[in-house]
Amino acid sequence: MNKMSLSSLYRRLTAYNAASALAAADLADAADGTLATDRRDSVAQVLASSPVQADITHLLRDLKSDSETLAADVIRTNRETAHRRSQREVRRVAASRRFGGVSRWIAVAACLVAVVGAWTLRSSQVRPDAMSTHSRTVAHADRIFTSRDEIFGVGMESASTQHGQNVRHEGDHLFRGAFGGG
Amino acid sequence: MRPTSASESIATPNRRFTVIPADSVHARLEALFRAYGAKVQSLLLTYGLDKHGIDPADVEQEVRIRLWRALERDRSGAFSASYIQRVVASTVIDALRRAEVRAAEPLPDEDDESGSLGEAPIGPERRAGDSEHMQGLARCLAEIPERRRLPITLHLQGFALQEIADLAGIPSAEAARKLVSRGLEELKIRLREMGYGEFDE
Repeated sequence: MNKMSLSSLYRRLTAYNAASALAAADLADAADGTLATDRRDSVAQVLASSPVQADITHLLRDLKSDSETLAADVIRTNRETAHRRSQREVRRVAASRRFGGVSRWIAVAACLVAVVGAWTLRSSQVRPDAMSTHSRTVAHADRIFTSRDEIFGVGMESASTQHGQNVRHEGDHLFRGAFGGG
Repeated sequence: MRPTSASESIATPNRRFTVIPADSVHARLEALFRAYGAKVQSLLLTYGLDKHGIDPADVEQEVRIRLWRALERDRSGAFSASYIQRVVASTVIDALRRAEVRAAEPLPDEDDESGSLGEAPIGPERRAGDSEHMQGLARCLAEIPERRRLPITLHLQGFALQEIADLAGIPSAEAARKLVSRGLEELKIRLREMGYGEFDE
């Protein structure tokens, strides 16, 4: 006579049990063997009386190494992507620096040309002014000389014409007074 | 048309450099998720979870979608194994719940299969005999002290000794083994004494 399987019979017995559904975290922790002490008894009771939830736990247990491999692969892929991105960034910065160097020299040359151009233009405009200034200086010198002449002339004039005129220079008055007194 | 590769070399007169297409990372991750999903699908079939009204292909696809979403949400975040495990667990639980709702309308072809995970179809005679044996098993288990009953029932649900030790708070796998073997012997003796015959594990 064939012996009946106890586990098979027990699973059929519990197949219709209305065991409360466990949370995904509890099932994952149970499969991982990291169930919190306060949750342990209740989770163990449910798993012992629910073939479906026991099977999910078995599935998660068998999947554990694949999950670890997947997590490691994803992290590595992300890291490589980040590294490649940073390398691209470095290359772009280097390229922009090179381009920046060339453009800087172009800017310096353009400034130089502009300065020289402006100086040339200015110097060509300044020459007639300089001439007029020179002539003005000459004229001014003449005027000073003339004014001296005038001062001198005023002194002479005031000496000759004594009454009815406003005398402009104090010195001339004194000079004149001294002559008057004498 | 020339096949596209993940990366290709381009030679110019002055230099040679490698162009990495923008979607190569996406393709690589997609390949990883696809391989992982295939494993999930095969395990769902191994444990007969498809017999509970869920489609392993749907679950596999859902797992991949959820993992993608998680990755897109936080690319720099820790994509840990425990997180992946939880994603799988929640996806399977959700699929089973949906299947339960659908099962509210019974399907005529499947009514004799449900509840017999990995078992051959059961005829009416065997069903009657089973029912009797199940009642006897339930009665015998109820007579066994709680301290030994939990390790036995966990063992009957397919848990390994170390898992039983972890779940039942038993100090070691060896201690769990002793509890299980003694408990099973006691159970078999009781069943035999009650006239239910001989049992294997």
